[in-house]
Amino acid sequence: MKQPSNISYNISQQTINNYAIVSGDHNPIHIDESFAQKSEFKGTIAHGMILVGYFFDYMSRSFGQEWDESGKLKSKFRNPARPNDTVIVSGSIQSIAQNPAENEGIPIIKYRLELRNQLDELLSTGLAEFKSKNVSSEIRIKTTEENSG
Amino acid sequence: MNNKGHISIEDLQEGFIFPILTTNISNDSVINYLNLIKGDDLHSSQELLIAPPAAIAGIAIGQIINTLEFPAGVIHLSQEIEIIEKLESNNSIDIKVIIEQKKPRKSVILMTLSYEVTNTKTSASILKSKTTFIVPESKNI
Repeated sequence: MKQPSNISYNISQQTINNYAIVSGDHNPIHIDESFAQKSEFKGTIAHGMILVGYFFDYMSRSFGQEWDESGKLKSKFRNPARPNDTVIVSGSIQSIAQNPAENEGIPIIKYRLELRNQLDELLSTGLAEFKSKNVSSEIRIKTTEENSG
Repeated sequence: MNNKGHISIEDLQEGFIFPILTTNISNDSVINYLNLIKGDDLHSSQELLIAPPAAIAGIAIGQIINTLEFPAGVIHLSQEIEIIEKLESNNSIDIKVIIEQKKPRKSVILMTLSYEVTNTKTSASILKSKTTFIVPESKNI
């Protein structure tokens, strides 16, 4: 298993408007500039689910079928993403657990995710989890050492 | 299907179970979602696609929000999604929602909705999800 590369995404007001149409979430904080200007954010912000979509896309591109079939994600929104932001998703393995009595002995990977904007501000964090048969023994040993150290 | 029941925030106590919401995951909505998230340039086609779980969860949230009398300016605080099974586009989904948490905090309400999405036709579970919102108490933020 290789360490996945960071992936960047561009957010425009059009991205946000299109997401509002697809999801049916027309909250004016996302799509009405005059309303959003009066809010604490002083402008429109992206739907949190757009950022979740980027996390899912990153995990799917990085881990493919194993993520697509068994993935779980917990994410928190720390700061808003705004139109014209370029956001970067990065991640690293937090732990690999293998309990032969559970999940048919298939290791569970916990993967820590971050999403930052072009100013390096942290916008969202996530903890992804999925079953993987493709964990190399090298990674298992390294992670075990890191966790015990 | 029109789910606009407009349930008031006052009615939403912890443990409140919504009437089941139903909506369609159309091919066009999946294509539009893939285009805006992945930067694809897909066009309408007859070919069925696997609906991304985050798209299904987002459409479910949209349905839930439109069922509620949420004031403008609701903020999404956190999101959990667990993939259970794949769903092809042009399938209908049922959304079973329960209010897991509702806590007043000064001028806002912290609200967590827990929901399960199932395939209307087969009743198979597609995903489980949890959404926490900050809801302004006033209709004018």
